Amino acid sequence: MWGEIRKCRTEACSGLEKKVAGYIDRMNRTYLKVLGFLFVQLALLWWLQQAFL
Amino acid sequence: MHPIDWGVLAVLLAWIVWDGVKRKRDTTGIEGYFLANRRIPWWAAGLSVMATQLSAITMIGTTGQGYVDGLRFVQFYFGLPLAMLILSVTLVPLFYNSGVYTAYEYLERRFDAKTRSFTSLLFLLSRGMSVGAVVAAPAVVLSLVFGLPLTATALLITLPAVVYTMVGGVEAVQWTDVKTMALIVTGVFVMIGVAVLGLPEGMGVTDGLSVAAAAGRMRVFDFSFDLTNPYTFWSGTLAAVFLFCSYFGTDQSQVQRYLTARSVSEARSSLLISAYWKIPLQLLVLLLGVLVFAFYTFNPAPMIFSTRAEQLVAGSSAAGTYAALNGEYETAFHVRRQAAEQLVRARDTGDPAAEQTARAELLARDREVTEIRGRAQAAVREATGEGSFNDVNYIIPSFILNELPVGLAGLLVVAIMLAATSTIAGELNSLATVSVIDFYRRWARPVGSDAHYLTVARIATGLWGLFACAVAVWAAELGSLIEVVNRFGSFFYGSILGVFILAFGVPRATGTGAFVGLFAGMGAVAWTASFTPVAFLWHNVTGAVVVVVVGMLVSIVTPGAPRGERSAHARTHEDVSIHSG
Repeated sequence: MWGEIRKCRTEACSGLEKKVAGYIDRMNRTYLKVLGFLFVQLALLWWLQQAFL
Repeated sequence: MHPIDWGVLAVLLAWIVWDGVKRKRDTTGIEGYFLANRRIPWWAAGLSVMATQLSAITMIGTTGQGYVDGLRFVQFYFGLPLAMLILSVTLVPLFYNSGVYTAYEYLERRFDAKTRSFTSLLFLLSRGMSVGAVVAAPAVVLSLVFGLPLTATALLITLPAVVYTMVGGVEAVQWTDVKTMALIVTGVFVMIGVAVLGLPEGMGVTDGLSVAAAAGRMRVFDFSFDLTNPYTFWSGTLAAVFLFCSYFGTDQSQVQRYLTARSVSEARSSLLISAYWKIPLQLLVLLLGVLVFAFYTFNPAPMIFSTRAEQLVAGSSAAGTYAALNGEYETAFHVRRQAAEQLVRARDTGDPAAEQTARAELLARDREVTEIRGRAQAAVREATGEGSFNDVNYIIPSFILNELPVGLAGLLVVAIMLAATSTIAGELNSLATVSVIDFYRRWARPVGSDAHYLTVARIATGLWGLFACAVAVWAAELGSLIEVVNRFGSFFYGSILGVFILAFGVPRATGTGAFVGLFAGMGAVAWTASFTPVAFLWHNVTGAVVVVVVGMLVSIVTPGAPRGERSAHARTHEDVSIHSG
């Protein structure tokens, strides 16, 4: 899949394929960090709840 | 308040206004006034986004909710990081690169003038009236706390915002927001410190939290899939995504914040500040309420946190019943305190069975106190005729004025006032932007000099400021009307998001399809809200889905968009691909 995305950045590909590739391309490390941070927060909240229940 | 507190309040308010007004020198044109010449650093734009949401209602109401209901409310924000990610890859680059001043301006490029004007009008209606709600809640509380007339506190909150927004534009709004955020966060930490230090000697944060947990205040997660319950894990992670996408992606008061950033990348970063820090901040605010609950478990707390309400009941025919209730409350309060002390001792001994028994005892005693407080509030409602009276909003102001040292109390009152002021300022600025860009420049005077539009922008801000003052002054009388309009506003949040989904994600969608879909979505939400018990967060999902489905169907049977619109659409997408690639 990543190969296809890279191909879309350099070669002409059109329509939905290009659009989806563009979104995934922009989903870089920053976004993964945000998602990771969200999961860490949820885990900490779960721990906080269980620690005092 | 002590004279020193009044002094702190006066100095801080004067400083905020002066600091905002001096931004005038950077505001020489319309782009400077509405978009700060796109040179606000990402972190300042991000803090401004957070400050605009952190209204006085949050400072007063959410902390009070933590006191009464615990941490459950934080679930509401679980979907926010997801919404920010979606917006960062979709609407943010689209708006930023197409060089628009307002989100609705883009709708004319993509669809037509009627769709743009109608969504702009919906924004003006909902935001215009929400200014009243933003002012009314803290103005009523502060007028009772200070013993000042409602008019005075309403003007004290509104006028500073009007002055610095009118003179300094969005730049003044955003830098003031940054200071407000710093003050609010400092204030929350100070109050947490005071609540913890006020616990009996030898008790710490964990003891306080254990007491709160035994009384049910530390429960965060509710995994029940109940469409009628607004605060569950599922409504927070699924339905709230639609609400936050709509709020941050299509509401001009938010969109304008990140359009001031230096680049599309910085605009994204400014939104991601909320993605990272909104949940911790909201948790902190709720934890403050929880710790104040622990504080008032060990320290004397009034049965009702509003002294004015108590005075009104004392002067009514229900005075006798209320006095008897108060006696009952004092006994129950004392017994609850003993149960809490027993729990702390059991924890210290490390005996799990004793701890379990003490927790059950404390829960039962807390229910008793809550039940008596409920009866007291019903007595207030009956005596005063205020059908919606609830003392949740008075808990934190009462804590500030009675428990904080002189000087700090003034600081905290300013923090609450500035929370309202910064929200109003952001709304005034966005209302003026939409009025000038989407109506005046679009329909009344399409061609004009920069100086002319700047003058009109200042006049528009001033007029919206006057409107805000008027709504604020008559807020008490307009209470039910404001509630109705805000309820009406909630009908089209999801629907407007549906229009933007059509604009962005459905190339075949036409202006007529979007316009008809918008009405269908609003109708569907109105029907759901009126005839089903479904909680309000799911209304946004209903609105967005109906708009997209109806919009697509209507687009199939109506002629395609005129060539000009198509090319404008194509140009906008081209811009996105060029600049954000």
